[in-house]
Amino acid sequence: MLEIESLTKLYGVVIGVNDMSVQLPSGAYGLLGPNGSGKTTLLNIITGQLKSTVGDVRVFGERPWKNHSLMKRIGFCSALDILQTKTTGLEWVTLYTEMLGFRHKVAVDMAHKALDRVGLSASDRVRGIDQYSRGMKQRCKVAQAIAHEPEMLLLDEPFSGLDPIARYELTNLLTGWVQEGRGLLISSHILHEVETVCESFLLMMTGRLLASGTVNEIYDLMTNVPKNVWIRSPQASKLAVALQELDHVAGIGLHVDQEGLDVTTTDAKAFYIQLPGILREESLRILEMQSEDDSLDSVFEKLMQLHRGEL
Amino acid sequence: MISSIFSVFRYEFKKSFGIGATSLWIFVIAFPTFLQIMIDQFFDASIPNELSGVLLVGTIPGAVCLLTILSSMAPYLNAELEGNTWPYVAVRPHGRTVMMLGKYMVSVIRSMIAGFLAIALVFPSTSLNELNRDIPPPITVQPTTDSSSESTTWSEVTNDDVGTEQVMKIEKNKPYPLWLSLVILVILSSFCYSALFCLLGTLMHKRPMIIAIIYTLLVEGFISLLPAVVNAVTINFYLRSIFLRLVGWELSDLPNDLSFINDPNMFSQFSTMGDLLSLAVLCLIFLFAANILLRNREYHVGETL
Repeated sequence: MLEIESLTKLYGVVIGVNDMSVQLPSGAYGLLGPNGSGKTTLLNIITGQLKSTVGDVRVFGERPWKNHSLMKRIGFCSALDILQTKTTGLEWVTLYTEMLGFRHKVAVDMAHKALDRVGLSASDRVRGIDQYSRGMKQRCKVAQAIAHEPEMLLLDEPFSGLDPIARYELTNLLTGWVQEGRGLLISSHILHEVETVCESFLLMMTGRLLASGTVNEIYDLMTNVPKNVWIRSPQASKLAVALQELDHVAGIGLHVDQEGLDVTTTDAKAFYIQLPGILREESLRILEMQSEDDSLDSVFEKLMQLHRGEL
Repeated sequence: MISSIFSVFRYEFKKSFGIGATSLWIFVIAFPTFLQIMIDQFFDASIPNELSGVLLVGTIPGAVCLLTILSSMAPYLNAELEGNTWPYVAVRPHGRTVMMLGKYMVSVIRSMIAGFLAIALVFPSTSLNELNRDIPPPITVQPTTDSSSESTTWSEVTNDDVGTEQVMKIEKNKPYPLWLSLVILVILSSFCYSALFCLLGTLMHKRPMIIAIIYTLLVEGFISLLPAVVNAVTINFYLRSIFLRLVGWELSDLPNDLSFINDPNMFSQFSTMGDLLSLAVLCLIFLFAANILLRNREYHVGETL
């Protein structure tokens, strides 16, 4: 679906995307990264709005810059709020559908269908866009992207400004979209929504691709990253002595109540395998154990810390 | 692509009739009539017909059309970029060109409507209606040796008393009525100035109105009135040459009030067809250059890197 080879985009002396290479077969991908990480630049290059300074991008095997036939195969939703004031949502979506080569009547029908799918009511769609809430504008933007049923959908922060119900509806819509076998690339800060829809992720920071792959593949990248485990045990001090013998245990902190233990390990997998044996040998008991957050959010945070050299 | 251009035209044309924009538009359309009524009130019939005609050229194609085009065409790209709708245009097949040509059509049509309405208003409601019916016959009729020539040409005519002087030979038999000449001028200026402002709006998309106003004043206002070769690159030069031939006026007949244009170098030496062709070439160059720029430039819409 998407091939990116040594892609670099410079804005004068500022680097937008820095030597990025990745191949994405058809599927759903989440593009994650903080502000300024190069997500929008990457999407703009993929959609042919910008051209790469160095490197190559191919969408369905074709270069997107000035590729008019490719434009019919992709749908794009920008992160920016539309500021149109003298037009209705229906007219707006109809225009961009007509610009794809559809006749007016057909485009109107397609716009209605798309607006139905994003849940913009019949009465709302004939109101001026200037009267819309941010969420309604967001629905409108998504509608223009899906109206022509493209093969690949590129959404830049699609959940931004949506209320919880709208987020749920959009998540359902995108899940259905992926289940139909169509391509999806979502840039987002709201990781849990992206986790629901996408199976694979691209993590970006300062224009670089930090990691890519499925959640498990990204977790595997973290094997050498120190991980914290909190344990509550009536024999915490004895357990601390036993655990310090393990090579991968980088640090142990004993709580003042003598019942809590913070263990830092560089190999969480090995730690969880060896812990039951130690407890059995030393006849120790634990009441509670908690590892740190395993969510993608936390993984992402760890990767960024790693990138910054903080770990 | 053609149907997409018409889609943009339909959408933008409808959008252009907002309350604020329409009010301003009506005000601009009524301006020449208002001015002429004032002149009728305060100057009576003392103004020569030619001066009234030139005043109409200045206020209808020169103000009504130009202001309409200035407000609709110059900021055509800026509106997309500032309205954050550029990304949706850019991801459509030929979207950039389609958007440009669609808005160009809107500008041309709006300008023509404004010009026609201004003409329709100014003649019945002012003393100019008389002028429209009674086109003054040319004072000096120069015989032409070329019987097939019906177009305007420059020639050397020898006068024993005065010496050699240049005069303009015009098809004397069929001068167009003033209203029709103005209609033709409105049509031509609508196409040409829209193309010019399209290029300016593409070149300087961040401050299009300011740039367009400065350019208009400097080039179409000042440079076009210079009696030098450089004025041949201005639209105004060809428009006034065509107008002069259409209404059948001669430079030698122009009143003293218009002495600033009473110079053969102020007018084209081509035939009317030649002038039309020049305007068409200018128009195409402007649109072509704008399209090339638009297609090859990268535009950033409030983007964070």
